Amino acid sequence: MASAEPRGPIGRLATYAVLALVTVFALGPFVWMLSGSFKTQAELMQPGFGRLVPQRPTLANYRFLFENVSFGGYLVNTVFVASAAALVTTLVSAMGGFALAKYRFRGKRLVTLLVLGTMLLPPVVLLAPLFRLVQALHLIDSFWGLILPGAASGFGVLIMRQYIMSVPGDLLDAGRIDGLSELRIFWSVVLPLIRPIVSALLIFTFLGAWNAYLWPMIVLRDERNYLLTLAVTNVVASIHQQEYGVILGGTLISIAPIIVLFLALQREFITGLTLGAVKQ
Amino acid sequence: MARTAARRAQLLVPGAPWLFLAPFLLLFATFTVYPLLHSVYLSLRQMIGAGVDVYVGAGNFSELLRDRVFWQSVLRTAYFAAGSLLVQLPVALGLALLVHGKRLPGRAFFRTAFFLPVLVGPVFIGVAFKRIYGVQEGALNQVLGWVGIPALDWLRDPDVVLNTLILTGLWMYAGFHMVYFLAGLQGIPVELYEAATVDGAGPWARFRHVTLPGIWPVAAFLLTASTIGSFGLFDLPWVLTERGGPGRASTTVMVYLYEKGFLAGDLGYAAAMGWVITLLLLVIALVQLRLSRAWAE
Amino acid sequence: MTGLHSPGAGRRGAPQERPPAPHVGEVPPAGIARYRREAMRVWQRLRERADEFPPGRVPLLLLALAAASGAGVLVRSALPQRAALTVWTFTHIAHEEFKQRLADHPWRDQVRVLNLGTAMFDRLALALMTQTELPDLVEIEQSMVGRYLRGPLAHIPFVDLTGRIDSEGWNQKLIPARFARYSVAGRVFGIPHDMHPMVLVYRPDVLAALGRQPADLATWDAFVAAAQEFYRPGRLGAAQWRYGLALSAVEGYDFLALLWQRGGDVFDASGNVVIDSPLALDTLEFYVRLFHSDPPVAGPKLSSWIEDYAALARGQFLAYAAPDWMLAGMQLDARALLEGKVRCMPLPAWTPGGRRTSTSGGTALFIPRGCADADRAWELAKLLYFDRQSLVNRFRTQSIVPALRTVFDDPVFDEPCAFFQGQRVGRLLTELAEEVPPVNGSPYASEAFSLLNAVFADVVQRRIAPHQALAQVAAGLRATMARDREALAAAQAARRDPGRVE
Repeated sequence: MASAEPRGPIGRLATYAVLALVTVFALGPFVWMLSGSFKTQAELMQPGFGRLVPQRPTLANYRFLFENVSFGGYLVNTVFVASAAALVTTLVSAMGGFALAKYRFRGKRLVTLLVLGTMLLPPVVLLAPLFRLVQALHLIDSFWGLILPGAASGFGVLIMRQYIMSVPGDLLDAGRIDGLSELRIFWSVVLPLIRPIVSALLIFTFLGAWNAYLWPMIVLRDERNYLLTLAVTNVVASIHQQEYGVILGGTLISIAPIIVLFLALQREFITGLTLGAVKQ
Repeated sequence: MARTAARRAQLLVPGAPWLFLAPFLLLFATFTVYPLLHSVYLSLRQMIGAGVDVYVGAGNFSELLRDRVFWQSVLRTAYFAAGSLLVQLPVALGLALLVHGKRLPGRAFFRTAFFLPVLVGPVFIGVAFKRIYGVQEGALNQVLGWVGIPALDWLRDPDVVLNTLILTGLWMYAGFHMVYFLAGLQGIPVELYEAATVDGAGPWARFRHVTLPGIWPVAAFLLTASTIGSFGLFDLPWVLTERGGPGRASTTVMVYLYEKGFLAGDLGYAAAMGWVITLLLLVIALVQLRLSRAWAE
Repeated sequence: MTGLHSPGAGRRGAPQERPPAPHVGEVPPAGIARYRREAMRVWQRLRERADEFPPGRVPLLLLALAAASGAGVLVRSALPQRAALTVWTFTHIAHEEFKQRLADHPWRDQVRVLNLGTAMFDRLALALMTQTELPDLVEIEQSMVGRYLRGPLAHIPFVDLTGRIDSEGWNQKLIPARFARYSVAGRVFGIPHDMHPMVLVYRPDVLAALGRQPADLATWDAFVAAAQEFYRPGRLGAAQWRYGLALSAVEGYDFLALLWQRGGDVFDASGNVVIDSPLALDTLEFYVRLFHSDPPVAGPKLSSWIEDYAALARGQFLAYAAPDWMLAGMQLDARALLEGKVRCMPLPAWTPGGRRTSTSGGTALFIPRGCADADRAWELAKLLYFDRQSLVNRFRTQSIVPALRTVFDDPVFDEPCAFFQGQRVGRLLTELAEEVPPVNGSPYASEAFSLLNAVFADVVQRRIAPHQALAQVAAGLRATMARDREALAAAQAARRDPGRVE
């Protein structure tokens, strides 16, 4: 059954039936949220599932989000934090991974071990000391207080290192022979060759920053600086605790950009994701 | 010749590697190492209220050993971790096997569809799924009702609530694991299957002797990653089942740590707890490594 | 530079595409078609250029996003206000209310109101600990207050307001029972915002069908009898079951409300633990019996308030105990379900003529000790909390009865409420507000709630006995208190004043 043989017609049917069922399970909540966000509160209050297509579809929930709750602002905030975090983290990780992969120097093993060791630590442990530090650096209520602490990603450095190790050293040497500076070699020779992993790490970090909740909740002060995760829980859900149409609409707006990004960049993401774990 | 070029490069730009490492090391030292050391310092102190802290040495750790609530939360989290593994990995593998067939049209669609839930953060799930899990009006109980399964109080029954988290975890991460398994399956050469068929092996035997060993490295990776992730779970029990509720029923270690550190105000105790959890994770990871090595042979 | 090729470099040498020559007899491409082809060519060029960016297209895309959104952020952020006073709240509603209050006030430009959401409590704890970035005023919810009041009296990080309250007469203008919650050893640190009296929201038609009037439900015994008649069995999730009262089966807040109504408490006025007193035990046994009597009186609350309201609307619950703030929530979220179908009545009393209300929740305003000017903060506090118009508005929009009894003569409390069949709910609430039982505050209150909630489900499900549960809670609290005392004593014995965390 695990081979690549074509299946008989019954096998095919059974396969599709199971897959269809799972698809309903996987996509069902999205459909439900989408349909719910266009329903009036009265319709949502009715028990159970509700109809798939709203009885009286309304844009009121979305209008509320953008007019009364200034969701547009939260969207802009989150786009900025997520993209900046992705770029900074990936650049730092690529440079670090490059150093660990392609150079021999004293202390290399120590650094690698140190990075590996700290990856086991659950981030919640560092919350209080990290907060005091960020406060001392005047990064409270600033987006950089969100971006910088996460930029030193041990995970990022290690997967970069793994991938860059597979870049042939000859290319680097050829560059050196041609008189290129090390920085130039990194930028023009190495980076283009590691595009898949760069894309993957970018998307990964973007996703993580987009969905982050605890740390932004602690660092950000002014409501205007909130991210979507905070907006949905602290603003939307606290105005009308049970106004479900608005909550669903807000949730959808928050996850829609990620989904669009993913659909556009699927291949890069999945390739990069699995590169580390699957050793050929 | 290549080696001399490299050596020349290093002479030309002494400390080149350190230059590249500098941004990372600077950020790492500031935002990871320093707080880490500080948290060691904190773990030796007891905070009472705001602005008062006392040195207690190993007091926090001995208190932690006696803290029944802590160990209960460890057990709960272990149950959650194990349950998640036992549910998610087989389902993901099954899905991967179904989707893997080369002649299956629509494969890309299924892969995408199953992966979409991975993109939704735990916070959004917590907020939106509350309605789905409602005991009287929730969509899930409705669907179960059609199939004749009695309604469950997913969010407020202390006996059920951990399973709600596992179920939600399944929805969130099955696609993620499936993608890994797919990649692993693609790496198994077709010739192995052909050889096995020639030797007269049936589908189950092929699965056991070709597929399983082939995806073992992926499975081992997922096992460890998933366990560590499960122990770090915070957002979901916090938002969905409301702060580890009802009562303590879904209080994972992270929720308890946060509760003790921030809600009760004893950052020292929380720091000590964090270190004990890290130690536990280290032990678990090592055990898993050992076991997976032994199994691979 | 020989031998180096980035993946994009090869494309430069590709020959240019030439537009296909029109065939004989074919009409030359119309304007739009040519525009489209040009656009495609530009797009193709852009993609090639993007490909030449060494890290690739994805980073380029993200850079563009970051730049665009960064510009948006910069444009939008106003110049940082040099605010003289900062106020922290944790709900959007309070935030809006304060901003509105200040909108026409001369102090508008000097005060900054921030809504930090549920993170506010953690941020406050950290701020108090480091004595930096302190607000001048902060609203704290009663269940969270305890943690900030721990430690020796001299180290409590809030300004002692007892003197000001007494000298300016607020201890009479406000209902005095409310202060206890926000005090330690008789010193008051917080100004109460509300009383939160509790009423029973019920279905008058369902009650009439039982042959009863609200006046017949003046005691819990009478209510129990009516509820037992009302009961119908049924599976959870279906529409057949009927219960007289909805009570939480997993958390202890409803139980505490009943205990407070009766005059009991978790802590006494000196801060000693009394949750294991005979009165509390009797109340808990009563509570458990409500679920298990034959026939039962109470059924478990459902997964969310909306489900509870829907059940009430369908006549599956006869009554629902609600504090004043919940009445506004009902009108906001469940208008279609419940409008015109429900009325309010006082809680049944434990003894004839006894107290007919309890309380749930509460917020108070505190002044952190490190703030710049405590007197100005006090003036601002009075402005935000004691302004008649604000309080009247607050009642109108959130149905919250203020603790300031001098406002009770306002006509707003006599307005009939269409949602409750025209009942003058405001007047009922103000009368009950005077009866709200005092609740003793304690630094260990939050822990008490935690410990109680941890065992509550087991008690209700009869897996452990009530006296065992309460003994556990009491023991846990006493152990924590002892641990704190020991640590403080040890520090003092070492002749070092427990210092501040640097």
